[in-house]
Amino acid sequence: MKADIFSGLLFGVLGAVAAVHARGFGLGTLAEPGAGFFPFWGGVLIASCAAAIVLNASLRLRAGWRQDVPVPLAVPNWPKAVMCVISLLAYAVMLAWLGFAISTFLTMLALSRFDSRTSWRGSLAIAGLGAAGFWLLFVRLLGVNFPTSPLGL
Amino acid sequence: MGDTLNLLANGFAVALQPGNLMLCLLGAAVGTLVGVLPGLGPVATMALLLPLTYSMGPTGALIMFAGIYYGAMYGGSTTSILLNIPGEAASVITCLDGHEMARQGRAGPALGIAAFGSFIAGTASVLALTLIAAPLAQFALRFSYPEYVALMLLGLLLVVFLASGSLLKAFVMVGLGLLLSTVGQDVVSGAFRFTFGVPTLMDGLDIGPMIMGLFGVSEVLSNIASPKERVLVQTRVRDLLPSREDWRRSRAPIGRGTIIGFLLGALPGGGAIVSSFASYAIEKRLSRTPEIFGKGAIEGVAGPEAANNAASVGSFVPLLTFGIPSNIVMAIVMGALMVHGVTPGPLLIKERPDLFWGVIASMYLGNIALLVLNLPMIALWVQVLRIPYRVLFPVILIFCAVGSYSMNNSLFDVYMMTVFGVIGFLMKRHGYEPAVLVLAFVIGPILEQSLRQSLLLGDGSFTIFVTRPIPLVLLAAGAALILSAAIPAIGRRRRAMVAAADVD
Repeated sequence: MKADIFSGLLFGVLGAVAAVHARGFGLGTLAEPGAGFFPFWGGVLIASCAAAIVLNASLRLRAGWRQDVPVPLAVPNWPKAVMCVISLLAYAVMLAWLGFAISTFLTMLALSRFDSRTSWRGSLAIAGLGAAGFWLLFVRLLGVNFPTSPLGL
Repeated sequence: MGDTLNLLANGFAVALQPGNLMLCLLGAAVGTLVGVLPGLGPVATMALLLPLTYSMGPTGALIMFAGIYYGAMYGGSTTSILLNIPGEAASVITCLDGHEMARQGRAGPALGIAAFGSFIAGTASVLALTLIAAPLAQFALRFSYPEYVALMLLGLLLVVFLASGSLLKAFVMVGLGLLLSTVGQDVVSGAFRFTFGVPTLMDGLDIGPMIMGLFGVSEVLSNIASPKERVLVQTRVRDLLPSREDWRRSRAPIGRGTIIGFLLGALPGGGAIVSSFASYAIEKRLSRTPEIFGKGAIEGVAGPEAANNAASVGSFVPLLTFGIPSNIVMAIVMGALMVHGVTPGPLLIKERPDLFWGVIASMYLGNIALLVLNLPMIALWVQVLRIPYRVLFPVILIFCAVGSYSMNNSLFDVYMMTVFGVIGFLMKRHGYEPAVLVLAFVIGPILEQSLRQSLLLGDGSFTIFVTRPIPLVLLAAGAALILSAAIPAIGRRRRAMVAAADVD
């Protein structure tokens, strides 16, 4: 229930801000709706539903209701998920500097290390074969232009 | 009739071109593969493959995506029957009786009837699609802006009704999807909306990084954060051909499943998942021996598996004729077509007959290929289930990143995809359904233009939606649907159904 209050508040604020912002595009008239008309009502829809979610959740919390909605499962490995996100962001940064081949190899190597059951040899295989496969598919076959590294790869 | 045959023959000429035929087979094979693999469904796969379609032209892209969708329906049953884990969401219900049959040593007939049932339902549905597509597109031409608004609202309401979790949260997702669809330049006034001075946003948000983040990356994050143990049950598979008795019992369920699946698939908001549940419920109710359901009744495999295949074909009906995606899979298909500058709708059949009939013809071929290929290859699919997730997930993540980049050669899209991945992960954990968001995002631009034009037409009065017969009926249906969810008994049943379906 507390999670619902939190997410509801978040979406409520988002919807309200969007609606206010959209008014700036010009709502127009009903006979001739402007650029802000549709996003304004989109924002209002989000904000009002989010308000109802918060209200609903807080009423139930007060009435002592618990767990009529299943609580999200525990996330024992959340640091690994965070590391995956960081790796993806780092990959984007690396691509611009190190080029496709090196960044792909390094990122896949790092990602595969997040599961302790994978051996170093296994990680090297995943990264090596993976980078080669992606290079074949996207660079050779599809001709996508990636930034190149100083080494020209 | 003769006209349709002629057009279909031309379609076969398109579908049989070596390139297109290969894409059809490739789509069917990839679809089966991801159908078999639990945790990777057709939606995530199409998201992953979206960048590959850029180099193949709209017809090839559509042929391949169609193959993936119905291929996944074939593949999903394999995992359900052998492992008691649904390979993808539309095969959840098949676990009940399919796995029970496998435990009784009848995995072969269960797999066999699922494949034959899928083939029969798939082919019959393509036949139905062939016959009704042209007249329906003709009818759709009579639709003006208010009719479109009503039809799209009904579609959104149906999706909300069927979304897992609370209706309010689903409405939040609708709002967010519509809001995100307005990012970029307004086509009427030229005003820039929500661009915050970022040049990349001026063309609007791309659907590619969005769905790769929401479905590809977020799925990996969920699996990494809370790993699920998967135990491969050892099952010997033999005697794939169902016995005469099996056939006798499966005939009617396959027939009914086909009709239910096609109709529910063609309905906005419907699709493969709903129709497989509906088919199971109906078979159980009609059966003279409902007590054997859940204990290895072949009817409980034949019906739903036929229904989900029929639905995957049926859901092309509203897209190809009205230009409205009826579910999330079709939303992605539509996104892929729009990238190529093809707008699906009533004019498609006249403007691009090669594409229209080529895709339909490819569905006949794909269904045959799936039947011929899959039965002998079941042993191979079982091997695929042994690939550990720790090997797959780095590949999936990099694929998403490289795929997002390759659409516009833009690193911004990679960041965007990562952000959507995190958002999707958090949303799913709190009961917000990303699929609803994407559907609203795809429908958004058409809905906005139709709504603005309708109001212009009606001189600012909303009565234009109730004085015309078609919008009136559609909107009344939508209102009845949402009101009915508020009735406790129906609300409970809705929640029970979507909770059971919420596995993929």
